[in-house]
Amino acid sequence: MFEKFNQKLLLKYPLIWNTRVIPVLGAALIIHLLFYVAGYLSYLPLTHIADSAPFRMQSVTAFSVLVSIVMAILWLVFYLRNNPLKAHYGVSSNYLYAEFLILFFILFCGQSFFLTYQQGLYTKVRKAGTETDLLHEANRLNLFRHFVAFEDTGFPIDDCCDSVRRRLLPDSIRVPMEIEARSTDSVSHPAFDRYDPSKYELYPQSYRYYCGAYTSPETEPGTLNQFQVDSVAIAWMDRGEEDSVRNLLNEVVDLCRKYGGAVKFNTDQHVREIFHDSNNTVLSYIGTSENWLRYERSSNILIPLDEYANIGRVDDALGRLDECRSGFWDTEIYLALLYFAACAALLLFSFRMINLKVWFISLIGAGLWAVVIPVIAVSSSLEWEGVSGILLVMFIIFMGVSASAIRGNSGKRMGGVTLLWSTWMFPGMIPMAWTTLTSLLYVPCYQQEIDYDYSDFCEQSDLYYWLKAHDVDMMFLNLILLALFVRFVLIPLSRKWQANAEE
Amino acid sequence: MSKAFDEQLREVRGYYEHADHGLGFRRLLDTAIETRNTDIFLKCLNYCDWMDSRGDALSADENRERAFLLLDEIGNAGVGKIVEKAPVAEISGLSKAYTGGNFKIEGLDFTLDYRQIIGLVGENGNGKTTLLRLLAMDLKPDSGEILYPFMAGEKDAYKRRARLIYIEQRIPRWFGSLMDNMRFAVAYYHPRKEESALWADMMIARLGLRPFRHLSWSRISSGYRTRFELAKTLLRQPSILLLDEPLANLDILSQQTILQDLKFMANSLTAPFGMVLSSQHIYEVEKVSDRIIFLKNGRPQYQDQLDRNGSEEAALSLELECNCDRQTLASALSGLPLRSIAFNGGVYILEFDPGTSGPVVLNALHENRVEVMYYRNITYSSRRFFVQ
Repeated sequence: MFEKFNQKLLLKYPLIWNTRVIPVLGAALIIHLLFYVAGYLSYLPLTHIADSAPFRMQSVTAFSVLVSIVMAILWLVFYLRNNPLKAHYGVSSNYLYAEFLILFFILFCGQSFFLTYQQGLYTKVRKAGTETDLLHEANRLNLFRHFVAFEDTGFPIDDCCDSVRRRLLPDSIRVPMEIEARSTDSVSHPAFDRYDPSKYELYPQSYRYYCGAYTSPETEPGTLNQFQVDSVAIAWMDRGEEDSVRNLLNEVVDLCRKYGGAVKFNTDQHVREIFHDSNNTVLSYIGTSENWLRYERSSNILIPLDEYANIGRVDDALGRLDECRSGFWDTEIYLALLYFAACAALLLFSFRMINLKVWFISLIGAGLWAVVIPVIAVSSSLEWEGVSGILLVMFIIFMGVSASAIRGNSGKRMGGVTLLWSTWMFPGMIPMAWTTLTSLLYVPCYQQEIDYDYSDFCEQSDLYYWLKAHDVDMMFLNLILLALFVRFVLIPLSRKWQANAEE
Repeated sequence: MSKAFDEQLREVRGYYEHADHGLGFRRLLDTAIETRNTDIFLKCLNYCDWMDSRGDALSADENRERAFLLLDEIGNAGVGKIVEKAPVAEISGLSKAYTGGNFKIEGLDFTLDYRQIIGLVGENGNGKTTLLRLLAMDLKPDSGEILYPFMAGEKDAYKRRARLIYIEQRIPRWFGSLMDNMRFAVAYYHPRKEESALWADMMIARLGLRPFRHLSWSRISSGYRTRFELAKTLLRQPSILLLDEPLANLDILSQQTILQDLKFMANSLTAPFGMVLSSQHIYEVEKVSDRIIFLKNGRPQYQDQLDRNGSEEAALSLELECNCDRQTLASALSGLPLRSIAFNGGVYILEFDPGTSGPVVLNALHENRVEVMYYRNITYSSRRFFVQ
């Protein structure tokens, strides 16, 4: 049956048969499935999801690359057997373009196994945390932080924004805080003159003003904001709701245990401390892990703490659950994979389009350029703009020479070599021109750089901001341009090159 | 039915009647291909399967009977569209010099028609391959013109080039089975799947490759590799075929078979082609060629110059191998107008004044008890170019 199908493909769809796209994609699918299952079967209970090691995946990535390489070699052994273009079978431009797209597809699918493993891992975590009420746990954690002081540095007024604390503070302090949030204006704003850093230290150490970190899951909108958290906490303290605080503390201690965080914390004793005076003054600090040493700012010494609660681990676990629920989509990683597939497909395709000898001459020549240009740049102290300028000029010259030589049927070898050089340079040309233009448009603010190192806050041109905002779009657009370049420049010139006579 | 096709069918019957089953079978497949009828192809392939299944048990009468039945069906199917005689290539004033070298090929003028074969002979390094590469548009001529009328109207340079089929002396290695490679080639020329498979099977059968169809490169001899290359090429239905030393790897029997097959195929009624082939096997090439071009230092000499229809009577030239030395030979031929005796490569080249005949020379040798091992009249053969 397989042989019958194979013969059918061979006779009816020779391109599909010759590129071996069906078996290679079948193999890739199976390998993706295996990686997914391996990710899913990873041992990862809730007590471990805060660990970063399983999610770094260095060994999985290395193994995935190895599998991709082995698969690519096996595929190439079959794919490189027949080349209808070089055998002069009269193949059309559209046939060749379809071949390029198939190469691109195969190379893309055959190199991203580690991402599938990650999806399997995420599914596992998602499934393990199905029962978790992320919104509730995040709210409890944020509220918990209001009642447990880990460091005396948790009291600075500018540590939290948008909180009830700001409402309580004098205007002279609040204004610079708001201004600082709008960082672009901060340098020139007169309010900065009124900012008094000494007030940073004078703030009272009370649970009323204590501000820890804040957790807000992306997949569960509706978490209490810091203003609301502060309001609830202060209300409980105002009303002396010791039971509410105790329940909260016990609940978060349970969360610590649930997510594998170390905890040793006498909640009853702590509740008594919180309510021991009307100002809810902080009497003691707790650590974030075993053997924690607390830095005492006033005496400049490290103090060992008896009690600890690793809520950082709860925070990490909630973050991980949130990440896994939202799914993994990192545009930059996928863009990098797309570019890798496009460049590898271009290199392989160019090998198929031009004869072996010219291809190797071009490869050696490209290696020489890769040495010569940095040497020129270093010896002439050229900046990035200068180097990219040289490369752009080289690309234009190579393109012009190849088009002229191939269309004019003169200098076959020269035409082939310059065509390959310009083809290999093409994917980098537009991103390089883009970054060079962005760099040229940037206006540095020398005075401010000297005083405050605030140069990034200088106002730039609209075009500069537009270029910066659309760099990822440009990278996608460049891929489309690459596809058009292959169809309307590389393929027609290569076919003509194959037809041309040697001198 | 065409008279020529009718003649071809009679010719095939004649082969079978004279028990020349090998040639009869090959020509039967040729006539089947002339019909361009896939039903006939299927019947022919069934016939092949039947012969294979019978093996040694196949009797001549049984085979003839079955072949005649098939020939009747081929005759009833009729011939496809017949291609009239027309020029395939017109070459005028062609020259090419290599940069940095003193070799130059020049002064080439000839026309090649459909069904015509031009043999290209000459010593090594005298421009045979260069001429073939020029004709294949692999090399750019310095001057002169190569005109291929069958390409008229084709604007795509690659497609024009793809219609010129040039088989180099060293056949490039292929991978996979012979059949897969044949089918891969045919798939680009016959878009209908069923039809393309039959074409590939027919060509494999025609060139005697059926026993090897599932074998790979490393498991078949160089002679069969050449046959495979030809089969693959013929599936592309060429207008012109350029072959560089196709006989180099073949034994004498295979050389004769291949050349004869090429001659038959070039003479096809429905898919004829012109052919230029280079070879060192002068006599084999002469047998099938309509013209011979001899290249010496890049300059052509045409066999027509030696033609019997020329205005002057040619001097008798003989190639002779005998069991005597030069002195004995000279004395044996002393009564004849002998111009020269040259010895080269184990044979004597004898040249006599015009008007001398071969039998007179043989008679003189017989009378003087000179035992002749080998004799060939090369008066009108391109072999003389090598002597001069």
